[in-house]
Amino acid sequence: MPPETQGQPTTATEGDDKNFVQRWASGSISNPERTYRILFYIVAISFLVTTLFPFYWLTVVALTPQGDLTNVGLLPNGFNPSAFVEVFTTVPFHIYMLNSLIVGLLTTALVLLLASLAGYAFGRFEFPGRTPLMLIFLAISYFPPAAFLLPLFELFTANITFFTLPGGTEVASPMLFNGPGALVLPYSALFLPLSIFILTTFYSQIPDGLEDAARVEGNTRLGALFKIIMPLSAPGVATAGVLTFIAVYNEYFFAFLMTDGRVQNWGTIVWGLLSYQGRFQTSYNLMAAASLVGVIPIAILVVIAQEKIVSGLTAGGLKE
Amino acid sequence: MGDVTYDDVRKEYDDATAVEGLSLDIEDGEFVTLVGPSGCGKSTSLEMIAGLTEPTSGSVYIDGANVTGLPPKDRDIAMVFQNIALFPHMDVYDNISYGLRLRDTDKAEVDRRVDEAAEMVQMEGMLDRMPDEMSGGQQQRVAIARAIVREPAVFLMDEPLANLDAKLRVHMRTQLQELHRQLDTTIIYVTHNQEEAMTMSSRIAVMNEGELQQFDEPLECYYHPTNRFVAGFIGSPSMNFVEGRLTESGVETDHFTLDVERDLPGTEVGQAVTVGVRPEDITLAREATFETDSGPVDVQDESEMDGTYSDPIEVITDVLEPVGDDIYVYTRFPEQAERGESVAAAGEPEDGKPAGSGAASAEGETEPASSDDGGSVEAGENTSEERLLMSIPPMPEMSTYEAEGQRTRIVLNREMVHLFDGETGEAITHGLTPETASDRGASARAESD
Repeated sequence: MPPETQGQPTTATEGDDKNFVQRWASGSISNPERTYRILFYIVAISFLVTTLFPFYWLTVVALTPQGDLTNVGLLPNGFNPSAFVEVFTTVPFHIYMLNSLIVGLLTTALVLLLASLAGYAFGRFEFPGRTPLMLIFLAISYFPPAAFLLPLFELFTANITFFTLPGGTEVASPMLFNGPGALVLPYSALFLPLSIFILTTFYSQIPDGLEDAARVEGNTRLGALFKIIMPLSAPGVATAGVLTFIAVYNEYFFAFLMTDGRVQNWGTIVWGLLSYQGRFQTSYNLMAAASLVGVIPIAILVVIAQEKIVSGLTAGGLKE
Repeated sequence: MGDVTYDDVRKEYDDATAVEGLSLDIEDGEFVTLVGPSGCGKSTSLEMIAGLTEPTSGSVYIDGANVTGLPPKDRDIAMVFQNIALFPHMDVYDNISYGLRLRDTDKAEVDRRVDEAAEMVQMEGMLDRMPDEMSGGQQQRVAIARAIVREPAVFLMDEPLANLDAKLRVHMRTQLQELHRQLDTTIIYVTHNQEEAMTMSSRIAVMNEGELQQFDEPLECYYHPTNRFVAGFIGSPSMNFVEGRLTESGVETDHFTLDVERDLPGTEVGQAVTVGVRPEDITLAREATFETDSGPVDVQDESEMDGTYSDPIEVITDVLEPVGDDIYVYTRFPEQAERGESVAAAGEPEDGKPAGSGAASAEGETEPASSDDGGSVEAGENTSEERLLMSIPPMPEMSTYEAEGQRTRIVLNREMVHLFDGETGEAITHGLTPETASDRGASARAESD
């Protein structure tokens, strides 16, 4: 701590009759920096406690042997690191994770592609109805997913007939249930609006001259979008991508309802965690260990993306 | 190779017409400047060659081929932008080679041409710099290298020097001319700065309010402007205008008369005309002088006696602006009542229009806004109703110039007086004497062609 904050109790000398609160108040007024610092520590520490304590407690539970799981306190009742290996042997948890990663990446790629096109149109063109259209997009993203569930379930289980061909053949919706399509499509629809909003903001800030220059140099409009505008908007693209990926990776509702949960049927992490729950006993220690393992890809992603975001911000120097 | 033709090109936006029926033939290898005040349609015209803007009607031809509707990448053009527009996430090499790499050019060939282009703009050895590590002038040179490396049929330059400081701008101006000589490629250059246009171009196209006013060699525009707008826009400080009317023997204004010694076909006595005369064609009358706080001003043009000059005109000096190589003297005409008094007018002159409807020069709506953003010295518009701006040689022995309210006499060089139609602004004649030096020059040029 810098010395000037410590060497300030002298204000008390002028009036010994002041009580502690009065001394503290006058000290804060004459030296508000100290108060701000104290408030900062209070907020920072309470934030860290609420976010990190669950991880600590998960670790405690994961390390506790199966038989000692009752009355787990702040310290593990024993030491059983083999739980972190058992999670993969009892249940193919790595496959569940892979399913989640694939669904997450597919959704992110689709969302970034579509949101880039939409963000380009919204951010760089004036057209009638632009603002209302944008608002509709944003409003849709806040609809409760449950509202979509029944119709989507019917659609993805090939229960909806679009039309009947002259020969009598019925053209029905495709059977996507238990496949990645049943997850990627609703996820994309739900998370697209936020990405469109983010990318619109970023793309609209790229100077027109740069796009013109790219087009004169030999790009098409789309080429200019993907080769010049997108790289220059790297922070925005990274933000949209990371938010989408994390949201999909964590998603519970559609993941639970659009597959039957078997690992070969694209069951995701949610199903993996639930599969430690047997008919007669629930392996809470394995669940905790699997939860911690499942966090790792997100942690890595955030570290990498943060670097990208920072480098994108400093390397830019957009000069109009 | 790189000839460019506009065929009756119009560009309309929802609420305005930016370019109105522009037709222009630019020959291969020419350095053509589109010049005009802000909002005259010159940048829109350039963007229509580039393909960044599509005309509402009419066609654009490059090298004989109709390119209207083609995307920019298929037009064999390169462009330098006012805001430089280097790609900030690429270093100099990547910026210059971007167009070549998009066209899958052979790596060795790319390297060779990038080196060549970098050398031409004197940026060799800086190929690994990022744009934000360079000064404005260096960035603009890289932008020019990016344009020349593709060896296009036509270069388009949209005020490329506008964001540079005055000294660098003059330097880059000569570099661009040098470049044009080396490349021998058509350059179409847009600027609002008439000085740039005058010094660089082989021909200039003066535009105003979306319409082409004149397309000619720079000095033709200077000596033989087709109308009042061109006369006022080209030249710095700009031309003085005084309203008057034709008489039997010449021109009469409220303040002076001029003899006309040539036929003016298509005109009639009594018609309203505008007299235009450049500051450098006004001089003090013989033996006329005026006092300043650091001595008398008595510089006269020696050729004054040869009969081409007008009769002395009485004026009152107002403000003097020494700009180094010239002194700009703002003068105003005395009011009717004061005229003929031999005493120097004392005290503050009163404002007020002289009697008569055709008062001295009024600023028409076509008057250019003489805008020069930064640096080069340019006198303000001498548009005030009663003012006449005179440019006289400098007098190094004098330090300050305060000469407000001094009465003196001036003469106009009738060889260089222009007459414009009072209604339409079209030029009636350039020079009031039987034959002028610029006429002789023009006919000599015509013969040698």
